Amino acid sequence: MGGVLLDINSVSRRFGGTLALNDVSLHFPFSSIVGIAGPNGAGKTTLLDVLSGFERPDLGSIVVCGIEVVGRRPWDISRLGLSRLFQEVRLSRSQTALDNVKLAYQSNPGESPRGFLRPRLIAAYERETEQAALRLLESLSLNGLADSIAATLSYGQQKLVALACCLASDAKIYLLDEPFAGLAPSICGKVGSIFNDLRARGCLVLIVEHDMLALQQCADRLIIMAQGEVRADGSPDVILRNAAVQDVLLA
Amino acid sequence: MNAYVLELLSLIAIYTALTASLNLLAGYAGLVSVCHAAFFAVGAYTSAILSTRYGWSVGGGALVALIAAGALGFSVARLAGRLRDEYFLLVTFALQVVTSGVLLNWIELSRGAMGISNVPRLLSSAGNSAIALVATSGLMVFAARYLERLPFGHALLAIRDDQRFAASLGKNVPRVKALAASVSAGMAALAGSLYAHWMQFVSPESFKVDKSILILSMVILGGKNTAIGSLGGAATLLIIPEVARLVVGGPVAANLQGIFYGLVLVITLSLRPSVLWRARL
Repeated sequence: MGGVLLDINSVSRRFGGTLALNDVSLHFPFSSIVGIAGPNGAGKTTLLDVLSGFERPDLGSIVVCGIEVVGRRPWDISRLGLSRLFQEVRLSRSQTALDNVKLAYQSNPGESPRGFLRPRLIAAYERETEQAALRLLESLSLNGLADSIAATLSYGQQKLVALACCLASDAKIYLLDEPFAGLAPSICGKVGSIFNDLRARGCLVLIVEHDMLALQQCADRLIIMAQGEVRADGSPDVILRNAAVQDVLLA
Repeated sequence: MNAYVLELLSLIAIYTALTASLNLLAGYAGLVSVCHAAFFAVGAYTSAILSTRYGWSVGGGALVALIAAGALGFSVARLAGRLRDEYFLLVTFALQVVTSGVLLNWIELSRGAMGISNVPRLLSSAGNSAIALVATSGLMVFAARYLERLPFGHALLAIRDDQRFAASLGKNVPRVKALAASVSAGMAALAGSLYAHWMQFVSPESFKVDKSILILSMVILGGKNTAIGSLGGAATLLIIPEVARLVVGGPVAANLQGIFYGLVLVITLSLRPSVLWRARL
């Protein structure tokens, strides 16, 4: 699939005296896994916040599948097919893992007043999403924990449930903030192959990560950021051999 | 059954419905409100005015009350939606104070402190009225329970637990909150209609801020379980003052009531501090 899926044009965002994003322009095609790395404070998370509508850029435009998203609210952007995994684990902690994943399926008739009085339709949708959610949990080796309350799970398990929520949304673009952090090594390979499947389906997977080895293994493009700017952008092997990049990463 | 017991049971039924409806808003959506008595009043006064002055039927009045309070609840939540949840509490407090003020001072509308009497009874006989009242209250608790089990209820919990998480999954956070407030207020108004037609008299005294806090206390005491919890919370806080009245006499018991509610709240919250989780953004 050709064409541009996500287009970031001259985006800037200032917090008080700091420029968190300084005139960032990036273009992403369909079917790719892109890593974003850089020291703390480089603006990686701000970039994801701006893309998913939690922060509004001061300047610039962001186009998803031909639609301008600057000024849209996070839930609207999510429905356009953009899914976000937060660096800190965010879940509905009082609900089970299964219920959390079920939340992610969009246009649920049981959430709007028009559907409230159609119990059969709701029940059918519930059965469908429950099956899909269970399959998803199983693919992340979480099938035994479907009925556990999220707050009682370990950090790594919570992270995986949050990732399952992301995957359940059936998005085109995945913005993942440190998806490998806190995961057992045995599960990292599985998660990596899920990302490969997403790429094969035409999706864009954007991964912010400190683990350069993991990025080198799965990403086909690497972007290095520092002080709110893009410092390098290209194939991981080339980028990581660049001495200037090493300086940025070690700074 | 003697009239005293019948009246106490009916009050318990009405307050159980009120508690279940506030639980949807405070317990599930995490929006702690102290204006439930105001929505209750909108229902009671709408029914009382429409039936005594314009000869409306019970059903018609209740329907208008439901819609009016639902719209009011929706707008309040929508207006407060931009604010953090602590401010929602303040906005509801303001609405409660304004409502009490209107009921006391807009004499042409509400007859002020005199109240409105001769509201027609629910059904012709007291016994049948009580049965209809308990059945309707039961249906309202059932409706609240139904909504909580729907994906709607799960979305509310998600918003209460973590608004950013809910928003990232495509939940229109302000709209879902406003919807919860609307349903909750509409149910409170329906309970108000029942109350007006059961007591056959309404006055501002029954809908002051202390009643809002009483209903909130019932939610906190009742805990998570909507059906049993609402009944338990409402029954406990309504029966104990009656028992106190029998033991120490009316005037003393009336003064003890405030102390007693405070005590129950402090004990419940210290034993189960997570009853009302703060929503985070």
